[in-house]
Amino acid sequence: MAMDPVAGDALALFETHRADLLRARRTQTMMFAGGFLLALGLSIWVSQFYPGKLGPGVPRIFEYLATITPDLRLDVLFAGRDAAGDAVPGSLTYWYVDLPKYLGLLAETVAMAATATMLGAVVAFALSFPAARNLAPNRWLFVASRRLLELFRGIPEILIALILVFMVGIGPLAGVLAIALHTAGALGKLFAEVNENASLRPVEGIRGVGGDWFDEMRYGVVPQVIPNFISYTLLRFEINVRASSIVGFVGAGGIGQELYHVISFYSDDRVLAVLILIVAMVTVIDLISERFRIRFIGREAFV
Amino acid sequence: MSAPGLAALTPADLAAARAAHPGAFGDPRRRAMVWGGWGLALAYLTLSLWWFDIGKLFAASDRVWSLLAAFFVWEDMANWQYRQIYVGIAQTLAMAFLGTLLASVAALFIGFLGARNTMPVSVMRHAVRRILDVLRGVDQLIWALVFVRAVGLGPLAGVLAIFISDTGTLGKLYAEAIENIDRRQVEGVRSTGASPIKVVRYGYLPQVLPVFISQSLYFFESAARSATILGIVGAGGIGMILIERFRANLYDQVAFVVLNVLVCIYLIDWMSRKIRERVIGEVGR
Amino acid sequence: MLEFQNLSKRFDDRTAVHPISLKIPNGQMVGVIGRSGAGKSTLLRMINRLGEATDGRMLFSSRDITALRGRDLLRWRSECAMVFQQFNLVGRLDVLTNVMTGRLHHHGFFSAMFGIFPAEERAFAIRALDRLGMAHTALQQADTLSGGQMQRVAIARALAQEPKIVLADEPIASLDPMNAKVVMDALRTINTEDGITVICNLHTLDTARNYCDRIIGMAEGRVVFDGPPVALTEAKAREIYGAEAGEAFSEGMTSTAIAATAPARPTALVN
Repeated sequence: MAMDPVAGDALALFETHRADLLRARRTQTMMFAGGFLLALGLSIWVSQFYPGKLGPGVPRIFEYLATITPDLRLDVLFAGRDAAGDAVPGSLTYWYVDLPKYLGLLAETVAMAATATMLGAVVAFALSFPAARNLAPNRWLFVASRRLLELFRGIPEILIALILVFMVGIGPLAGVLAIALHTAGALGKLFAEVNENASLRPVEGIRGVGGDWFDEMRYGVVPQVIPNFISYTLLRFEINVRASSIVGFVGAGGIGQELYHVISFYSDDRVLAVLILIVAMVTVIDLISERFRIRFIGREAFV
Repeated sequence: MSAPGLAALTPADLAAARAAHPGAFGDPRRRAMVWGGWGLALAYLTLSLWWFDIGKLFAASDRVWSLLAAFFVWEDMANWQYRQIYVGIAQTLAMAFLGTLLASVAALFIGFLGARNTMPVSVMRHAVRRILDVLRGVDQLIWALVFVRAVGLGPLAGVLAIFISDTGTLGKLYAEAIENIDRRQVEGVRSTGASPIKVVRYGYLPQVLPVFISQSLYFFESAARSATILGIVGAGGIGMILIERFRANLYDQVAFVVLNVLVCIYLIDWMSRKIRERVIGEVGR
Repeated sequence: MLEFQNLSKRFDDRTAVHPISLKIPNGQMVGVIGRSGAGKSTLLRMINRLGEATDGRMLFSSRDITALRGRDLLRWRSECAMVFQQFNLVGRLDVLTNVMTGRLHHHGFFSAMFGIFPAEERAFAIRALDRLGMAHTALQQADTLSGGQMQRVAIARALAQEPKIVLADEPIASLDPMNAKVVMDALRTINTEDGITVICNLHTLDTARNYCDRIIGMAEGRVVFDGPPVALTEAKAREIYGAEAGEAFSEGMTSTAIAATAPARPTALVN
């Protein structure tokens, strides 16, 4: 069978193109796979994540979980204190014998988060107007406030807490200031973005009546953005409750300090007791905060 | 009638306006509530700052200044153990990589167990979701602390901490992605008589994989960030070097390490963005 | 007396307003007409300095307006009120507060930031709203109003400034004919009763004819006509609107149509 030379060319051309395409794709896939395997190998080597180490490690996790689990006995579970005023071993009272102390620390943790959120939100509010590209009074202030916010949120709060503990001593103050700084950076960026999306018409209206820059912001921008600001601040408060429960690891106050203490020195059922309280606190705060957001701002603010 | 100016308003005009529009002159109850609210907030702030001993911030000023100065005056740079520092950074990245990878693999299975359309048994689905809630509810640093006690100091604890907390979040996100897929494609595969495993492979995976990959990359970024501090509780990586230098009062080296970490995080964000663009661009076609 | 001396405006490579020299005596109602892009808005915005002139000077009562800086500039803006096409009210604030923002220039930093307005200003703002028939909406949120109502609130805000001049940049371009009439009547009333100079950008010729003492026609950044409405012939109008020689031209074509001819000098207040 004689082949049409032109059709043969077309077929050959198609085949070469196809081969080229396949080769290109295959090379790319190989490169990705190679890079991935290389990264995996390097990672395993650098972090010494060998099966030999993992083997005995995993059972130890379960052993540890066993040591922090309390020996509760069903028959005396709800028993109060006995005649001598001591808690009965195996009862919840015995497990949570330090409950008043824990509750005090939980309250301190929430208070730390609240104070830090307020301080941080105030700074974020002040910086968010010069940090909005279309509202900044001049280019220099814009760049300066942007960089400042980036610096605040770039460094993890526990690191700031570590430094502050050295500066102002052990206690909740270091934690409050650290979280406040980080909050100022994180919220400031979000606030500035909200500001940039605000309509400029009211701003021009206020400029037209002879208002200065502060009047323009106060009457032209703030009424538009305040519902978003409030909802972001409440969300940040939820995040900050989590943060204030861990800054205690470096001595910056709150329930984290107690958790670090019981893990480092006892490693018994008290660890689980504190952990459960932390999870409960975080959950409760989330629920309350969500209620507030929906009640005061309405659902539409989140779409 | 030419309108009188503001200055020409008489008390009688004022009284008339007040009588006609009483609401316009401010509701005293509302005003009291607004000012009361601000007053309460301010009172709380003042009181709590006093309680937290804000005075210490100003009292310790001499020490504070010398400490701050120590961050900026870099001395004896020739003898800094650079190798140790960069190995620490590499270790941090390795921890983030392995932790996220393991979490992604785990979440791949858990996601299908926690999604409404792939897990018809609701008890099982709810159990999976609640477990994920707990994994997520405990902060990564707390997991790290627990694992350091369980498996000892070092990067293994860090990898496990990232693995556990990221599994919690990724599992939930994956499950949601699976619930949001196009059902028709799945039915198409099922209609060919494919077994459930094959339905998952050809019906679900092609749809959800790009989403999974992009989310995992996001979590790699965030894990690289958080892995830098896991070392503070002894879970390996640059954080361990950081806190060691801190305890030895080598603040200039602390500043150097922090700078390096910031640059490194910036690079990872950039790289991850590039990869995401490529992967989503390719598979999304 | 407002006087322009070779006032001009250039954007990068385009001249929006060629040097203009004009005198506008106090108490006049001036209509500036022309097609979109003829430089009307640019001219108006230069007057209260929302836009800067590139060259030339502007004098008000022999005070150099183009040289004002800082507080003096803000004071000038407070004396020279602006009414915008899109109203530029603060939607989430109530109507009364919107009107009271017209007093902001006279406030110190703290009373402005905390929104403390004395009873006199509240009464004054209510009077201003009442003149425009909007007092009943005083406590409503501004973005719940219709376009025509918003523009009346915006005029009340201008009145609250106790201005010497009111500038209106296409005040009726976004309104339906009935509301357009109400707004134009209000501007004319301000002009006749309070003796305030009103300078109003319009792109419809018949509105300008009906309401203004003087018409300034602009085309491509130049003043091509300046005189009383009766002097504006069809030929001149063609030049302003750039209609081709052969094309049919009627004043109605430039109109968004106020159906009935409005009285040239309204005697009653709107309500």
